[in-house]
Amino acid sequence: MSKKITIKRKVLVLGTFAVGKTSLVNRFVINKFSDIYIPTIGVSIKKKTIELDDVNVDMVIWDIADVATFDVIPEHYLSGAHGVLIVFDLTRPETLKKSLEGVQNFKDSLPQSALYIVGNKKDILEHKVDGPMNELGITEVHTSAKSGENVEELFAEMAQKIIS
Amino acid sequence: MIDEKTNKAHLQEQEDPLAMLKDLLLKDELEQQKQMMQDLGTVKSVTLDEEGFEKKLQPFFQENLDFLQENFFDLFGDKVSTSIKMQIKQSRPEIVEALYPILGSMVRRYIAGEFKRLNERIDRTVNKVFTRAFWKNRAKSFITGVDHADIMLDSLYESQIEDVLIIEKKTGLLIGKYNIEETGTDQDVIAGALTAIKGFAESALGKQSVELEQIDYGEYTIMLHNFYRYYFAVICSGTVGHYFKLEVNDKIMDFSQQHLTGLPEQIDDSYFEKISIELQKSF
Repeated sequence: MSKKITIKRKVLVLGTFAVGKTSLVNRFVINKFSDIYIPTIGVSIKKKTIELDDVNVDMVIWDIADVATFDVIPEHYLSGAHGVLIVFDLTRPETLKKSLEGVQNFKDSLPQSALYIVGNKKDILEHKVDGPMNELGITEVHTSAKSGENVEELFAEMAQKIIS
Repeated sequence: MIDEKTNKAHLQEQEDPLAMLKDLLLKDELEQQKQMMQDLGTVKSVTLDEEGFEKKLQPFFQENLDFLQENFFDLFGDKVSTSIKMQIKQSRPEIVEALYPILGSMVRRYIAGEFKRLNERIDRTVNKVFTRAFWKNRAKSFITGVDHADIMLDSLYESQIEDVLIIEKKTGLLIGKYNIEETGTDQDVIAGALTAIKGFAESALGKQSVELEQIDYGEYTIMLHNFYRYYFAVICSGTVGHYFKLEVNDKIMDFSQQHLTGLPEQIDDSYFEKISIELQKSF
């Protein structure tokens, strides 16, 4: 049996303040959650390897601090990203509105990347979100960084989409 | 008159049983009172005799004192440490103010000591005039065009390459790495962080065409050598002088020509390992 190859991939995690970006990344990377809110300054980089059937993917995750609008994110952060997670807070509908404003930008500047819109805090509120996700051709996933629900599955699905 | 006499006799008859009843009811109390008065007298005499009183109490105090001394930490350790922590927290500005002059003089003493040591090293190096090393350095200076003083300074705190990272510019992903010893820090994360810092510095200056070439971090210098698709980050300790930089740059140029022309679009672990092995050979 031949040895599985490992490839590295850059993944961005974006979203407005306090939607749970860092919590989502921490739940995925170190399987921990904290209720204490510490805002990220600039960018925080973490890594985790996902083992797929025929390949291992080293996901280098850039957890980017909140920005007022998505079009002010520095170009060098976005550059070369293979996957993008735009996180919003299911309990604050305005965060989805803001996230959707940025989607077209990402589709234009990163056409090859796997784009996901992630409704976080599913443990507090779970409801169907009305949004033009289908029209935009992006995948919507609801997660809970607190309970861990759907987190591992989200990253695994993204890894699979990135390599295919 | 008769009535008065009768009344008196009647009263006398009544008093006797009352006295009897009083004796019966208060007998114990009276005895206790008597005893208490005696005890009080004893206590008074004992307490008034200061020397005797002290002697009597001494063993009791000593015993408690010994117990406290032996068990102080168990009994009050937590409370004392919490209270000290609280006190330090509350009076941080005052503490900093108090420590500032002490730290200042410590730093001054340390710097003075380091200067003294540097002086001694320079003296030793200067004393090597007309030695083989001196002429070797002079020849090196003549051939390379690097100032002789720079070469001498380089030899005082010898520089050493600790890590070499080759990083893809666009993604910040690692193409290859070489490190003298494993530090436990994930090099992929370092590569990403360096790329973020580099990008930030370059965009903050608003001059995308100008690239960051060096980061000084404590005792370490991170030399950044930029190419079109990738850059080298060479982490060095010691004095990074001009001559050392030239040497490293030469190695980087050679390596790039030999191993990185035709860099594939997709870098997998076999390519990563191949480059890392070559880095180890070259650096």
